[in-house]
Amino acid sequence: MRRVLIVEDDADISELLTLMVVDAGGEPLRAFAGDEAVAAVAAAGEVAVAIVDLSVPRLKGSALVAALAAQVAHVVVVSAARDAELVASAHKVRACFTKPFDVQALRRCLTELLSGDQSQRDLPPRTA
Amino acid sequence: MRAVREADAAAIEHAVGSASRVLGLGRLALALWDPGLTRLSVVAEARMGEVRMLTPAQPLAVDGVGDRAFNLRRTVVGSERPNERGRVAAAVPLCDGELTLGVLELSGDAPLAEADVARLEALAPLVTRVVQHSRLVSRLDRERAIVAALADVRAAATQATDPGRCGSLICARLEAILPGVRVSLYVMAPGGGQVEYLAAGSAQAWLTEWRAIPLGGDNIVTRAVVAADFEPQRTLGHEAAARYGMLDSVAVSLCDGPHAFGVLIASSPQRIETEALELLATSARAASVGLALALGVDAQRRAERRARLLATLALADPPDGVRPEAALAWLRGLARSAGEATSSRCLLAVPGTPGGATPLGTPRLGERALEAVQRARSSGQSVRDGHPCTLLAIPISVGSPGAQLELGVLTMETNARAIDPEDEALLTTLVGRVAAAVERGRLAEARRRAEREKDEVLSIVAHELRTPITSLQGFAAASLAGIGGASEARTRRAFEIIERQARRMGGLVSDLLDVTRIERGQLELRRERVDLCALSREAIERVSATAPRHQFELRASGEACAHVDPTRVEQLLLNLIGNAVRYSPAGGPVTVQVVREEAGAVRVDVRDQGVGVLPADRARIFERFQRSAGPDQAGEPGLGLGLYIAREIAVRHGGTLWLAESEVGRGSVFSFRLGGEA
Repeated sequence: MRRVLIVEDDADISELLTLMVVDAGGEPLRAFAGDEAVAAVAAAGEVAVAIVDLSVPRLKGSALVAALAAQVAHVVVVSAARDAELVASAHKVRACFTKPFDVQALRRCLTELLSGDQSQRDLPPRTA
Repeated sequence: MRAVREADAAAIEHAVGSASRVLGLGRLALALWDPGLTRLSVVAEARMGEVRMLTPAQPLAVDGVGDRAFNLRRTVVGSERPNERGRVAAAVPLCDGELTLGVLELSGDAPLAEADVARLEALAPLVTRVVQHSRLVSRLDRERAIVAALADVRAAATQATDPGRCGSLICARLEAILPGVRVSLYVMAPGGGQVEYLAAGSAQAWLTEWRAIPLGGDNIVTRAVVAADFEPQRTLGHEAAARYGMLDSVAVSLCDGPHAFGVLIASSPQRIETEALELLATSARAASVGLALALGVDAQRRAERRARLLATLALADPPDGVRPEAALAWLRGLARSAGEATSSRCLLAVPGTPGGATPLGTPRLGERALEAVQRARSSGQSVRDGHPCTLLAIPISVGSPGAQLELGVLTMETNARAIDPEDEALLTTLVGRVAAAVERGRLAEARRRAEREKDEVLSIVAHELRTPITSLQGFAAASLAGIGGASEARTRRAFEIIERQARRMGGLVSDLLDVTRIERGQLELRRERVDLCALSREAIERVSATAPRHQFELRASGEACAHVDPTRVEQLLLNLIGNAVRYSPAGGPVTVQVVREEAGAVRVDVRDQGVGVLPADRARIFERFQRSAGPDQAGEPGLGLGLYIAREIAVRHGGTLWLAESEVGRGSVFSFRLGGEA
């Protein structure tokens, strides 16, 4: 099973994303703050996808996406921030969803990322 | 004025000498009525044809004889009563119809013979005719001189249209005609009450303390002005001015129509004789015409220049008032024009730089003006200085009382004339225009700020509503799509979340409505007797149900009642306790303490051990749509209305709400006080 990191500080939305990850066949990992997210990736070893809300406590926004993009195969941004698209395009993230998001579209995106092997080729070389 | 003018002296000398030779004995004396004095004085005497003119005139040689002859209008012989020198005398009046001009007196060492007296009586008409002639010539000369002087004064008065120059010319001409006399002119100050210096002939120095003379009381100037209403251009009274080396002063009113508009003051180290007084009175009449014209022309010119400036001003586009400096630069230019239009000095004083090192005003403001500027600043009122007013300082400020922006002080100083109401009106208009421009700029700025704030608020509201909508929409869509399975537990869970998020949205909306009510002053209170201990307990129960990581403690004993709206005060408590939970994300104790204070007041403290409030944020957090950015907070969720609404509820109850303690990383205490007499 592929690990999916969920970085979201709103408990209910985090729960919703967890349901969707499970539904898409992923193994959810939950973080409620930026630094927690980075620590979780380090602890988990290999993470296929990170679903990231940009406005989380402590490490956030562009810095958070940059930190995760170095360690995770695909980053998907799910945010209500006005500059979400801008941050997303700057870091070549896989997809960007604006809250409130289209559940079906995110579901398709997750299913696509978690199935097939093309994601493996894009995985950056591990340094640690 | 001498009794005999030099031109006539020769004729009189000849007449008296001839008479003396005819008589051939004793001393023959001619005594004339002195026009300035009230006695007979001997102007010429002769012995055996040898004549001596007496300057000044001397009293008669034999007591009583001459006076009696003069009064009785017949010859009086004083032989029965020799004078102290043992002489006897006879005196013959010199009659000119009804008038008696003087006497001719013959005195000798021996008693006079009848024949001698008869000869004297026979000579009298001849001498009378000579004196008559000399008088006529003298009067003619005098009148000619007066006519010339008047023409001169009139010419001076009409030559110059500048009142000061016109006045100086009049004074100089009069001083030339009346040797030793110093002349100065005063005109009525606007508003009456005093006359003020206009011009003087030669003697500027002694006028220093005479620049303005208040009217009222018993003095020559007041008498001159008041009497002008009844008897224009009358010479009024003499007053000693010994302090200035003057013996005599007179004031003559200057009239234009029925009322005096000023006075002419003449002073002399000698007594001012009737003839000189007449000349002064006549001159004043002549001067009045020209002077009144000059004053009128001057006032008219000033009025025209003022009107022109006002017209220019009405058409001018005031500068962008958003920057007060631009408006003040504009005003500085206007002040210059106003100074030119009113023949005065108009300056703008602006407050120093915020550092306070620069003194107010410019180096060109004199000490007196600076003092007036300070007074105008501290009182916020116009300051008029001097009697008459020659210095005006008008403060310029915008905004409502209590929230005023001080822009500066506009001053006007005049020289040799008083500031009249029109000058003041002009300056007030200038100040009004500038203040209005700045005020307009401020309003425009406030409007722009309000627009920006509205956009900001809309953006915050939209953002805050997105979070619950994401959950609502997400769980509904997930349930419909069968994500997470269709078990009853799963569905129930989804509905729980949907219900909670819908309530959260409802809370946001009612907070927004509360803000609208507060701003419109429509937050209504339904007061009743409420136990704040019980109310606090209920509030804690409601919050604790949703905050499992926190420990709540209520410190209260018995009842603490106040006359308040229970719904609103519970809202206040929920906001404070909710904030305590929200800003202590790691959990921890939240303590609510209810304290009964003096005079029936109740204080409630809500203490947490959360992130605390940064010193820079301590005032801001009570404003609308402001949230504390804690040291490691992402910007906690919420509209930033909780504390604003809580404080407004406390204030509407006549109470207060404040941040009692706060330390970053250690927690905060928010307190409010309700009830009591205060």
